Amino acid sequence: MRLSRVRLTQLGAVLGLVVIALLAWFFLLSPRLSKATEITSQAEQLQTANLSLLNQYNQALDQAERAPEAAAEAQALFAKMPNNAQLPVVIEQITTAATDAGIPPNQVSTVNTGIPEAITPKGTDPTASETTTGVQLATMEIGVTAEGTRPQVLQFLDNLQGLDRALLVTANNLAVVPEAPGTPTAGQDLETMQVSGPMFVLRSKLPDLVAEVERLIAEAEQKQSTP
Amino acid sequence: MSSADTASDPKPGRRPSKRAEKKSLWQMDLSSIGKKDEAAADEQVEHAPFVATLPGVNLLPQAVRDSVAVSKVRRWFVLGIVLIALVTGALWWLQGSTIAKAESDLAAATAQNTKLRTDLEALGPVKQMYEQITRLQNLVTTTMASQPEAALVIQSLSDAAQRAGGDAIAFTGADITYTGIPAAGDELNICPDPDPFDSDVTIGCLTFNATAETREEVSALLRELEADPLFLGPYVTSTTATEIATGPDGKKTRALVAFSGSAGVSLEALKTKLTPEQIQELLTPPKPEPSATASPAAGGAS
Repeated sequence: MRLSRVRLTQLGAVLGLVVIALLAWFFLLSPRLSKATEITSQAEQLQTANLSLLNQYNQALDQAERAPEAAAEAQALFAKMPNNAQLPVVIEQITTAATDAGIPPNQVSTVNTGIPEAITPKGTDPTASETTTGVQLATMEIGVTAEGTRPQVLQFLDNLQGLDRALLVTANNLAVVPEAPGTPTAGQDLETMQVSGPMFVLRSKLPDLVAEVERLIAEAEQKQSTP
Repeated sequence: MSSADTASDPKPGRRPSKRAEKKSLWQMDLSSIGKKDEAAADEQVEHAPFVATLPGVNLLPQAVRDSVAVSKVRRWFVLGIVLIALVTGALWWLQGSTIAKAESDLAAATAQNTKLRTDLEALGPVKQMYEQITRLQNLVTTTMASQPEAALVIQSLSDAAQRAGGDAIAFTGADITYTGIPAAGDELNICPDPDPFDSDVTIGCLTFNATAETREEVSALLRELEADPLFLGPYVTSTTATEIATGPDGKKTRALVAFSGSAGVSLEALKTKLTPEQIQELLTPPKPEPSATASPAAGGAS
């Protein structure tokens, strides 16, 4: 079947219009619509990210407000821990705990102090801990043996736990000392008390945490006020 | 108009219906039989009324008529293009305002983002300092929370013996190991427990060696220890009855029961007591996280 000239023209016109419409869609409208959608999507994503950041910022602000108080509490807690250089003081304190309980120093037969071992809380980068707070914790095993009557050794145990040191008693042993002939015990059995446990120590001199926190807060305020 | 009328009035130009004229034999006149019907003789064909018009003759050749039609199609084509252009332009312009608004929102969000990041960066060292301080503090306080009343535990053991048998019960040795507050989900009582189905929580184990004069005193000591809230599951592992020589000449003898036992040290022995909520937390082990291999979706269950 042969198409007439008119029919061919009509067909060509319709096809032409369709092609022009498609070209207009693909090269003009579609990119324009995509651009609008893309920018809107970017703005929405950024707004969502901003919400998360705002949450983090509020949390950081809250922590910054509580930081001086927390630093003061930590300062008081860490001050109970001797650093390595203060070890002689710890030994003196143990002896004093014995004498306060009525046990002569010579009956404190052994005071063992282990090598301090560094400890880091879970999820903490040890190097960050050193650079930011300047506090490095360690534990040192302490073992003490003293001899005295039951009330004396129990008082000694109490005194040890009441020391201005973070000493955790993890084991103690009480044993009756066999009576040696001619020993003046005033009718009371002597007992040996062994106490052991870790003591928290600092691996360096304790910095002034409160002053450090206040300095950091002042720096942060200065940075925030600077445009 | 009724159907009878329709049947009797034939349309102009049409022959009247033969069926309407046909009569039955009984209805017909005898004299008319064999003669032609008069109505049939008067039959006339009616034609449409004549209207006078000029005769139309198209003398244009087909090529010219085609050209006219093609030019009409071209006009429609141009009109279509203009329409498409107008619609495209309108949509383009409408999107402009949407894009402008989106760009404005994006710019505002970007500015807020930059400000928040700067502020967070400024607070970073304080935040880091706070977190590290609290972590270290928590480590120490959590560890020190297991601090026992060590002297009180020994004193309570001694008091229980005194109540059970007076001076007859004498401890030769007592050893206490403190394991601290157990973690939820861990074994809560590592000491020997006479009731294997009990869910007691202990912070340490006491083992002791002592002597008594009779086994009744040993039983009484166990009852005293059971009644003491500091101890859990007191248990005597062995009792041995012997006789020892007494007196300067060693001729007199005295009955002696040597025994050894153990007991758990309860949460009551902590210097800082746990709250009921903390104890409940210990007793409720954490639920294991469902692993991907065990999930029915992953085909772990059949």
